[in-house]
Amino acid sequence: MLRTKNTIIIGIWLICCVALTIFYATAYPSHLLWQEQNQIFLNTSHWVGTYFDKPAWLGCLAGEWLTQFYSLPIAGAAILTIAIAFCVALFAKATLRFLPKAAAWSVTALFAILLFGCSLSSSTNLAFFLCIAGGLSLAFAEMYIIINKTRKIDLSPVIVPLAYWTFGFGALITALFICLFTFKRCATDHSKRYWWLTAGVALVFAAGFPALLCTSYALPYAKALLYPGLATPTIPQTKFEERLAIADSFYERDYALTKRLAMKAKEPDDITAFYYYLSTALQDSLPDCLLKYPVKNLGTLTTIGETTPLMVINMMNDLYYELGDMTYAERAAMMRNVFSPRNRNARMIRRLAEINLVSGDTLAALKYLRILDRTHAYVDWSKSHTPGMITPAIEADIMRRRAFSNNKDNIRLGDNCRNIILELLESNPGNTVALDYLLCTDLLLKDMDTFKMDYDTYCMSKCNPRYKDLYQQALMIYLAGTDAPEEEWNKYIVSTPLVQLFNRYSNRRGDPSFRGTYWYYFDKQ
Amino acid sequence: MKYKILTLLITIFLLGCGSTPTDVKKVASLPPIFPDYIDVTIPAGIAPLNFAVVSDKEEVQRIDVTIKGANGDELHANGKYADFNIDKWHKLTEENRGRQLTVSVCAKIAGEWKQYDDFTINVSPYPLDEWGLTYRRIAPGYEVYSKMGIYQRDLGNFNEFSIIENTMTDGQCYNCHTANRTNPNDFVFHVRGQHGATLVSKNGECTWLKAANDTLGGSMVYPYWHPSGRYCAFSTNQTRQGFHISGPKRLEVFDLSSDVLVYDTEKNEILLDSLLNKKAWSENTPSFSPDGKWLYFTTCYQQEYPLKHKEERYNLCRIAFDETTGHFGSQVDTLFNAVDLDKSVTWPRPSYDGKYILFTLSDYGYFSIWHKESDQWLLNTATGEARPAEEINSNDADSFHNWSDNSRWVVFTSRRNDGLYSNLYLTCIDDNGHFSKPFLLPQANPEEYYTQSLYSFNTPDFTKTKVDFNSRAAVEAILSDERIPAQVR
Repeated sequence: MLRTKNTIIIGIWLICCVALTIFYATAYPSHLLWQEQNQIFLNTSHWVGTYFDKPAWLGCLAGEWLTQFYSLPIAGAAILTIAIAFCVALFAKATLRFLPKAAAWSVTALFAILLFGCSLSSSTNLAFFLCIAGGLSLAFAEMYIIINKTRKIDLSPVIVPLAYWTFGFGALITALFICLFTFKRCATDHSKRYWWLTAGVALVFAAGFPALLCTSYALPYAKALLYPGLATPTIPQTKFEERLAIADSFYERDYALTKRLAMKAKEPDDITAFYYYLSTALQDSLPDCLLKYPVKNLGTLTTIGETTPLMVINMMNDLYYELGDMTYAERAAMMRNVFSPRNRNARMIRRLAEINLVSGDTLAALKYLRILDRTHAYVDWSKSHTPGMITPAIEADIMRRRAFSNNKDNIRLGDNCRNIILELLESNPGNTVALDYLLCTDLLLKDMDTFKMDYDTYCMSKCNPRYKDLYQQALMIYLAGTDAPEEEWNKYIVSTPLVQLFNRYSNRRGDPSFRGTYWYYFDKQ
Repeated sequence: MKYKILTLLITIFLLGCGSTPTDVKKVASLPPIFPDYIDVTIPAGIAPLNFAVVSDKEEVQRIDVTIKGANGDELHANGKYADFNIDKWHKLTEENRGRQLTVSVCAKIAGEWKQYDDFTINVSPYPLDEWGLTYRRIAPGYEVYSKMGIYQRDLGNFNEFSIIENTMTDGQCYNCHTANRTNPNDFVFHVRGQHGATLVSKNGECTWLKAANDTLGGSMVYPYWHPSGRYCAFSTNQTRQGFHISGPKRLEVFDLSSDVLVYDTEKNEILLDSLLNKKAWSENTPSFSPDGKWLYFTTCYQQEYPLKHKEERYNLCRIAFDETTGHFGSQVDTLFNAVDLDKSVTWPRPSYDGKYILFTLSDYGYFSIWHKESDQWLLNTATGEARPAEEINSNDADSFHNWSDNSRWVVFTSRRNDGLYSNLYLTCIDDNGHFSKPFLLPQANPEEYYTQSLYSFNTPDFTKTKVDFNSRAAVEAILSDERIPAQVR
């Protein structure tokens, strides 16, 4: 009977684990990749040694070491599932010791739901779960002394500090369970009331040890007590997952997929729009697609600072890198690193290497490549980008980007994207990505005078008119609005069918059948 | 029997590892080591100069290093990198003070042992009496600060201790910890941002001054102590920064305005002088002569920023200072006219024996760490002549520096390693005013440490003894925002 029950429990357990793994693998892969990218783990003794600078070294070390494998398919889902399952198993085993079965299983179920909820937050890292598991494991060690043994040696003055040193806030869990075990012990055996002393010692040590060490750890007490930090449960962040997936496809340079995912987004917003437009721009079709997406955001009006969301800093990094402005791409990458744990973000370290390769600062590029050399996930990438070993395709990409970079030195005080684009175009008028971003920003702002001026400066005066329907339609608005003579029309407008369409629209201004034209956007949207 | 087989297997394995050089092939070149410690000059008792042999093409499997003293003593290291025993290293350097150490390096590369030409390390006859260094370590995140702090490092070993870290106060920026002639009993540092303040600590007594004073038009930023310990000079930089659009430079820091003042710690009084507060001029980076009779500073004609940032050029000047009255002299002397050379002076630091002024020279501006062309220059105070200290300069930024108390050692920042992150180098000056080849601050595993570091070291200084600072009390004081306003005279 007992065996059957256990088999059922194990069966349910396994089914839950498989379901959880499938969930993370299919519904949350980009969240897991975000975790992996938001750190970097170096396989060196020096790096491992740095974990001892703060509490919870074992939880953080094991967590970050395992997180580096999140970039492998399924691995992240499996690791996270195992970590949660381990926590829940320990919790169940512990609660069964002092609660009736039904109550223990109910509490365990709630605990499992809580952990699952925490795992759904993009800011929860694996170390959080490992610190819980570590705290529970050490509580068990003490439990065997309290419940199973009659030894009079109280090990809590050792176990609780050990729990804090290795698992940070896990020590609080250790202390809590020591108290619960003690309660159980005293309730069943009234002659052993001195065990209460154990509970008291555990609590005092759990609260006092961080207070003792917080100065040497250079942390305020509250942070030291809860290191490496607690997590907040949340509901599945499907919207954020969708955005991360779009950003990841862009990172992999699969622009067609980026566009497809952006178009499929249930609630298009600034992020989906941003990546949609950047992908189209890189496929030379930004003017063709500008009015096709429901949300308009080119990122050209966004600035970054201390309170900018991390995703937006990533976006600005992508934008400036693709436009060709290595100065601000580097600035965004540096800032993103600063906002990452231990000042390292794998994606940005990679990007910093790319930026310095493009700007020709080999020494600085090697700095980042040597860091990547010491990782598990990026060693091959690093080798393929190391000067002297660069593949022809990568070399060609670097040279193409270098050709579009700024080559005039000056000092820039703010991140006014218009100025940045103008500088890029001064350096290289053939930078069509920058040109389209400039002209399309003017059009989204409906600033026709600026648009005409920019079009004249970077297209007409360079004898390089850009005959895109969007620009033609916008020029017609300007020409009509300024009563331009026929020769002006002939100079700018080459599409006769568009002129005929414009004439028809002029008689039916605001007619929804013209939705999708710049005229309609100009009048109605 | 089982144990015999196991022993045999272990022996075969160890022999297979080939940890000691056999069939060594001679290579007629110096070993490619990191850090470059070839022919450097070190003080006796410094932390061991651990190093690695580096090769971009092939993996260096193992190295075997022997260091011989002039009296025949030897020190041996064998491993992935040369990791010397600290006590034996100290003994060897102490016994060879004023003499040379000969270093023999063998490296196992692609299964083959190679022996390189021997090189020497000079042990200086001049002691470095200071306990260690203080410095700030910061990620060059430009506008925001993640983890940064002020640290101290024991120069006799690899131990580093934090004096204060901004993880204790949620991202404050700590600036320029400055002691009085390497004596940690008197020091100042400045806290930027929301809980801004200037801390003046004298013999353990802390005074938290208001960071900014409206009368001054800025904060108390770059400090330097008067040798008496009563006064401390500051510049009041209203700093702004911009980004270079392209080219080798990344950042440019300039001041909308800056003056120089002297703070009287006894009277809590700020001493101003019209010659140090000229409206059209920026006075900056002050320092006192070791006899306390002169206040050195740099000054430039205020430019229109950022348009004419390249015309911002500072000269090195001095003004007399009377420590009994706190009065300044009535004339300013130009000690080094950098403007005539189309150059700019920054960070003048007189040696404590009064013989030299070490300063940094760059094409323009004063924030030389972002200027690849910036170099160290040495001014002989007796002759008034200045020369580039070519023996310690590099192709990259060589910037902020400070002297040891006996004026024989200099610590300075340089970006020669990767062009992006500044590290600390030490050098020794001889009786003829000639510097030795500088050496990178030793680390236990320097190759891993410096390769993996994403932090810059800056504002380094020597410290006679370990800084005893109650960081928890300091954090409470910072967060309390209780500040004492200084009176302006």
